[in-house]
Amino acid sequence: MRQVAIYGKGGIGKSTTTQNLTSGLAELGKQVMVVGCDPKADSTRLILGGLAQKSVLATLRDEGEDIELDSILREGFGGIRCVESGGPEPGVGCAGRGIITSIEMLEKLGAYTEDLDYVFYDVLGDVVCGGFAMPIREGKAREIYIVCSGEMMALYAANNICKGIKKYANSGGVRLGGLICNSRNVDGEADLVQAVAEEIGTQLIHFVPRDNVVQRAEINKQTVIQYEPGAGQADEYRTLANKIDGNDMFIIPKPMAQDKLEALLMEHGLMS
Amino acid sequence: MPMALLEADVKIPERKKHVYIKQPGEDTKQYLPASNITTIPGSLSERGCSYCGAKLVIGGVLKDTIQIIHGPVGCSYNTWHTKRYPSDADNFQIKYAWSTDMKESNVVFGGEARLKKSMLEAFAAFPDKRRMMVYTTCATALIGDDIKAVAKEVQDELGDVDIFCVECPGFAGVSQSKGHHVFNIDWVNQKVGTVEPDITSDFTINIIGDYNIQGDAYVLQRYMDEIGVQVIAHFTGNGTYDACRSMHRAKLSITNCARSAGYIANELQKQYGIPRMDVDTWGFDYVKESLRKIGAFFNIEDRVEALIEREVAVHGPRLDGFKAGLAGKKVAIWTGGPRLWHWTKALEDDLGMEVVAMASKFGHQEDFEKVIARGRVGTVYIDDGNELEFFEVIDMVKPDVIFTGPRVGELVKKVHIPYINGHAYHNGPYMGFEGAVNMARDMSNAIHSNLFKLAKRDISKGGF
Repeated sequence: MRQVAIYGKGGIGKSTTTQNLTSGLAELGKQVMVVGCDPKADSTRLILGGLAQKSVLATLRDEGEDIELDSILREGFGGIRCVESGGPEPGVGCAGRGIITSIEMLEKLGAYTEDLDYVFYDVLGDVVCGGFAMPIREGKAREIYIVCSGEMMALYAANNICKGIKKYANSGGVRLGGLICNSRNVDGEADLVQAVAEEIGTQLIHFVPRDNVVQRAEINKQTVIQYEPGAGQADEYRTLANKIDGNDMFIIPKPMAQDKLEALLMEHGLMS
Repeated sequence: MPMALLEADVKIPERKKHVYIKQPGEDTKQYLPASNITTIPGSLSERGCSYCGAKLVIGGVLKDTIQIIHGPVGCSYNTWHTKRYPSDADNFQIKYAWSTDMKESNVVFGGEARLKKSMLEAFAAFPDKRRMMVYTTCATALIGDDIKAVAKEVQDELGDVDIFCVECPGFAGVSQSKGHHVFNIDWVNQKVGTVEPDITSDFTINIIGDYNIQGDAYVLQRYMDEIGVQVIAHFTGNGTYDACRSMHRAKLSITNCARSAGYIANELQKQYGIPRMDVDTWGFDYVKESLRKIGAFFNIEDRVEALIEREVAVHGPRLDGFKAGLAGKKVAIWTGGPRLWHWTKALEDDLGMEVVAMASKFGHQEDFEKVIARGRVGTVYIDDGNELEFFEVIDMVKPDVIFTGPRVGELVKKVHIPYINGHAYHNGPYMGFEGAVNMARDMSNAIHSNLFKLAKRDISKGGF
């Protein structure tokens, strides 16, 4: 079982990318579970066709600890098993602790079955505190992909996430598998992200071009692979799925100093 | 080498700056143990947390106030009735403990709803209690529960209640001392001045830094009644919430425990112009001195002298009765902070005893200045001491009796040295003239108890 965590700046397209690429893996016949680690609980709506199941934490709150796996795990497109960790309303409680609680609950309820080929954790934004690092701690995800674009803040975030990975690399054994560029049509984007990847010591595993079919599919609560299987964009996600399935480059990232990152951005014309 | 590295501290040599052995001719300008700084890793500190300093020491003493501890259940039990401070209100304050009993899902989703429910339940369960303190703890402070907003809601909803919020989680400072500070300052800024007392005397005082341990406050109240001084507020021994809101109307603040409550005395001076007078309400001779200072302040020396004369006539001979058995006996005082400087010279002057070792959990530099100024040459002075150090010091100075808490106290019994509860007393009160006698009696009973002579006998060798 490969456990994979997807990180990246808020709004960069982590959930969209995760759901499309897991759909691609499902098409390859892989058994996949997606664990949404975002209090908004919207990491699996494209696979399930809408905000469908109750989150782990909401169930825990309403029904106590004596809950059945069936009540929090639903199967969606291609047999992908979907779980939403959920969390508190904005501004109260502790979302980080919520992720810890819900992953522990999933383990207790036996969600991690032998037949699974992949577990994907779709984690909110940055590694802001210990709770959001839970998926990469010991015994959990061993590989991480960072979704980014050629935009400055997305690369800042990616670099920052690398610091989090480095911290857990020795204790938890987690490794960076690569950057996924979710294109924003920025000038020289592929070159810049490629350069950042090299600097960090990893690879740009795939450049996902921008295509409005993604938005149309989302409005219809579906992944591109389900909504328009013949679209070129669907093939892009299939390619990404294949690359991840065959990936053998797992490294401990070398996050850049601020100066170095800014120099790279300069070099590729973003800050001029 | 006045700063001493004990054997027990060889692996943590940073402890050297916390241990001082006073040499002839030295004073505190030259040497002072480091204090009120972070505990050194490896040293098994006896300190409490900042929340504990606010709740257990000060707030929890009030006799008419519900104390809601917003956190996991242990924070409540572990600050409940470990100190014996009775009250004349049926001991309400030590009969009950309250907790919001935070659980995992309350942490994740926020505990404000649970807090509000608990507050309303507590007021409903005690319909004659209309005053409440709410404390944050580590967990609820971390998740940012807004206890002040909840308190305001409850106050608005119920109308006839008043609530004080203590936002001082366990991690807020290096020891319980931070909790004293936060409580003092927030109280004076938020609550003092909001209630007007009935004034019945020209002479009005606040008694600050006495917590009615085994009835100390009753003794002080009796003295004040006798000399015609009205006590506006006891902060907080046998005190009430509303009396402490009216502290601004006193003409004088007498301060016994300057460490836990000196802050509020200072603020009352600054904000309301009420003079702060530091007193020692422990120690036979110190009590005379302190009463005379109060008498001089109000120009009622004659009343004070009459009181002293009568009390000394009653209790002087009783104290004398213990002197012979205590003179020359060696004492260790391992308590919180101020009791070191309150007691060391009193025990020497009143009873001819020798205080040979002292340790403070949370005292600041000014406490060590006072204690070393009053303390003996050759005495071992320790900040934030630990048990291994204590046992080493026992071998060094061989005390006959030790004032400390029950945890260390039960351990020293194993080496056949009696202890007296230095925090909650054995059989108090210890304040005032009668208190000094009680203290002498407890020491005498401890030192001369046959129990320890018998305990030393090895019955496996026969002869029992």
